[in-house]
Amino acid sequence: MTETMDYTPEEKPKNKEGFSIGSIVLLGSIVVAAVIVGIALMRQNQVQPTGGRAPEFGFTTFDGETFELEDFRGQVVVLNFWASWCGPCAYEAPDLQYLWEEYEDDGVVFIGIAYADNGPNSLAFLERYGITYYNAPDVGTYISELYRIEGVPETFVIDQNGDIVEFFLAPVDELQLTAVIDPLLEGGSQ
Amino acid sequence: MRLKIVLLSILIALLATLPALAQDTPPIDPDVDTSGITDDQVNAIANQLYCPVCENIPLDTCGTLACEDWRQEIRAMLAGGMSEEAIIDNFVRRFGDRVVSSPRDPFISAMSIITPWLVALFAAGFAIVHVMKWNQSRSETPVADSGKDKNSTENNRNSYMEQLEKDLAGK
Amino acid sequence: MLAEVGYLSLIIAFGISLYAIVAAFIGERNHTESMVRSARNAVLVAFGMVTVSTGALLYALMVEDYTISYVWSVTSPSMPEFYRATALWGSQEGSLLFWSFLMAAFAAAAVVLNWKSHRRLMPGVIVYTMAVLAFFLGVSIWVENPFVRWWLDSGAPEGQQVLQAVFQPAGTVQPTATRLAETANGLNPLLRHFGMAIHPPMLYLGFVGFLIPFAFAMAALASGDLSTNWIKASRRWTLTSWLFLSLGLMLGGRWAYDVLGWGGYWAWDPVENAALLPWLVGTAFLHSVMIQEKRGMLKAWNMALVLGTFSAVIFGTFATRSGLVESVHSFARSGIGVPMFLFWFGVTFISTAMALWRYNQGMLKDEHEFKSLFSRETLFVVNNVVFLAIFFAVFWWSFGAPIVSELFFNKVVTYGEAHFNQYLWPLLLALYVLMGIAPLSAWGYTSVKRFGKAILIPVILSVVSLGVFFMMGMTDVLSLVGYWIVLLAGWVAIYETYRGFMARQKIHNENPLQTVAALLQRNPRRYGGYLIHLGVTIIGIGIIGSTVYQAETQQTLETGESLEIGGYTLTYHRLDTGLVSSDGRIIDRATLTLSRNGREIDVISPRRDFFPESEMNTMTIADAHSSLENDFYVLLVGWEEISTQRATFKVYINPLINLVWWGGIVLIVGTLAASWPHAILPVRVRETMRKGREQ
Repeated sequence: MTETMDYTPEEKPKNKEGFSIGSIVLLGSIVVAAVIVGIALMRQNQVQPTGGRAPEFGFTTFDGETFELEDFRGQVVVLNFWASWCGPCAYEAPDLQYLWEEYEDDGVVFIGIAYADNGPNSLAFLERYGITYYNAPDVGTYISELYRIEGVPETFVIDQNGDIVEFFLAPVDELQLTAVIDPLLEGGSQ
Repeated sequence: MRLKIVLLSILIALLATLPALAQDTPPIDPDVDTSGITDDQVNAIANQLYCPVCENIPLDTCGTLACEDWRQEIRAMLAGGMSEEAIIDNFVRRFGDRVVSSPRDPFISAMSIITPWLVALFAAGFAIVHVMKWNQSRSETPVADSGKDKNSTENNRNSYMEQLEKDLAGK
Repeated sequence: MLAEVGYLSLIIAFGISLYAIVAAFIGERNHTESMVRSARNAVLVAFGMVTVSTGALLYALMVEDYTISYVWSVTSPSMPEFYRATALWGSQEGSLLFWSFLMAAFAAAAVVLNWKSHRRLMPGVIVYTMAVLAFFLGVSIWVENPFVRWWLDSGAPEGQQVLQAVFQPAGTVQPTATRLAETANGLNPLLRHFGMAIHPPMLYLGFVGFLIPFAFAMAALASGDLSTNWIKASRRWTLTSWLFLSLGLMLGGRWAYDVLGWGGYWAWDPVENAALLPWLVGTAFLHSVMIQEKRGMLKAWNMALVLGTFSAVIFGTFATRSGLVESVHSFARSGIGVPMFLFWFGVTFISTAMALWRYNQGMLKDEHEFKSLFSRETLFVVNNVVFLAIFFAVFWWSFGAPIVSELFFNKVVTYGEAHFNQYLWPLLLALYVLMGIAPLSAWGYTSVKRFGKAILIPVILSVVSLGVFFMMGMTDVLSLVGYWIVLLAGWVAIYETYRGFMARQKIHNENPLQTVAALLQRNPRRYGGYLIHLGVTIIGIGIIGSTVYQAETQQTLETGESLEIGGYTLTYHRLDTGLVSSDGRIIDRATLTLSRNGREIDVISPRRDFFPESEMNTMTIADAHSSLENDFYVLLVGWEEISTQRATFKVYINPLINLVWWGGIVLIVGTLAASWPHAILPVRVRETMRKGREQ
């Protein structure tokens, strides 16, 4: 079925040179929107940092002491994300405490960050495993966002200069950690 | 000068207490008796909260261990006599704005509500201006309509008919 | 064998689509008919090749060829055949290939069906459809290849022994068939539901379908033919795509209701919203084109809407597949985000630039002016403004605000269901108000008197029918106002249809069915439109009832114990555990009886399904007693251990919820009616009718 064409011959269109201001603004806003979405996409695709300067953050422990990460510059920092409802975290907790006691005077600091978990269960968890190293609730889930963790447990090892040297996606054990910490201590004493 | 010193010291004192405020673990007794609290009471609060572990699922339907933990905490808080407001405030303080379904931060909240209305107003205004412009151009050129041949033929035909009527009437 | 066939045909299709673009472009430039014809044939061949490729993957799924990684990841030996077939769109690679298949099919159909009637626009249509197809084929070839296979390299270091490639790398062997079969993943349990099986194809048909109006619009911009030709050409395609998109959205809601177990059907989750956004713009477009066809107005706006609809489609699929925002629907993180983002930007920027180019040349000027403020044109403009407002609000709270908040204020925020429900309802109600008023207004000018007379009876009818809700106990004032507005829109549609029916019956002596058929033939879009509006009204009533008046409770019951809610009594009888179904899942099923006023009315059996071989291994499936009045919806809850002595149940009473589904069916029928072929009237009659409308 051929539909009749409704084409009305227009008068010769007055050809404006270039685009009007409104058009430029419209195109410009598309670019701006795209840039914003693009940046968001980049950030979303970023995973946990495995190198470079460790992101700065402040924290207040369950005991009420306040620190910044940079307060520990010059020491090796083991940053461990955990939660009381996380089974594997319970699995690695004894190893972490043991190593803390071993390394306490050697210039190694252990920091535990409780992810989405800072109620009485967290305190019970710390008590159950006799954890004595610094532990802080992640208020506002800020630190977890900063390190882009996907779940718990995740552990980062930061050297004396404040750079991340290792990232463990899974529960860690004694062997894995000592393999990373010892070289740092030897190198740092030079 | 003395006033300044006093004010400054008050400010410092306040700031010094902030960390303690921020670090507010809930004032609940872990051994409190929760048997009187019904699931419905817990759910009434839980369905207003979102746990970061589950992606975009409200706390009352989420099945992870983290969510179970949170719901138990809510139960204990209710048993301890905390109000709904206080419980939600507490969770927001500890975990951030993301745990509620509308951001609490006044600035972000304003931005998110106002922006769509602003855009809608802008669109409506744009439409109104356009319609008015059309209306105006119509009243300025009363014999308006685009120069379509059909219409001018129509006018011609009408005037011809008029002429014809006049002639016939005159007869 | 299958992998090679599938992969190679994909590559050939890609090459041919590129050829089609070049041939169509050159043929149009130099006015060489043979080149344009060649381009057309290329479109058909590309379709053939993509069909072969998709067929190969489908065949591999059915015969359980686990050497192909995709087959291995979405099927397993215990899956029934039906789900093996639907696994074609069960995961990223397969669903992208399926998407390309539909796209190629639509392009081929558009070229064949519209060749004679819109020959002038064809080269442009070919160029733009093939360009989009080439992009998606390219993604399938280079980023998300469904035909890679598993290979074992025993010589490689530990942890790097398993490789994926289409063709066998040197020094590798294929894993044994039995090893593959026993480790195969199986389809995500959430997708093993009939609704989920059909929801993606419907949604994709809707999305992909909008490519054709887009291509016609772009062809119009490129060729300079900016009359209503491109709109007329794409009218059927727009309606068809809109139909599938509406169907897809409703099926998604139904699936969520049946399987996800939270008692609702739409959570305003970002990915759900990503599919809703094109629907909003598309519906605005459907209405707005009528103004252009009848009055030659709003040309620039219609162009913006059709380009915007397609841009929203691409954005939607980009946001869903790339994990841009947090959602239950997220696909796994993959490399697809960046290419899709760049494609979305390219499509949006180029199409907008072309439209602005023509606009600045003055070629999108309107032919008529608004004659009066109270006319159908004005109301359609208001309709568009409201749709745009809803569109932007949904976009802002799903994507815009969370992204801006996180990037510029370093704060992660959530916009949950409560937020959307709280702030969107005025706009949605405004749409219903327009639905009630606009059909009674005339093109050009409506006298208040005429309008008052026309609306009187529907107003009376709607107030009277409010009584039904009163009797059901729904007495909240705000909801009654909402019901009234929604009912008014419905009664207007019914009444106008009735008037048309009676008017015709007076003149012609025919039986009622003939009259109905004649009405549809003479004016399918009007009467189909009324039916669609009626469907939307029914859905609206269902939404108000099930949202405002939903009741819920959760209790733990011992065997023999009952709970009471809303006048019903639910008694827990027993739990059967460890039942094994034919597809390998293990089921715990509870049996409860539902009574009302002492009389037993139904047996309800909610279950928990456990899938031993899959990662997301537990699914809670509700059971409900459904009636017009409500759904009595029961879930097995796992807060505490479920034992045969006691179990926890969550109960929802969702009043009027089944109206949502039945209203959807009415909407579908209405859309089919609106697509009815227009009866061909003699030119003389049409002229008279047109003059009559313009007065």
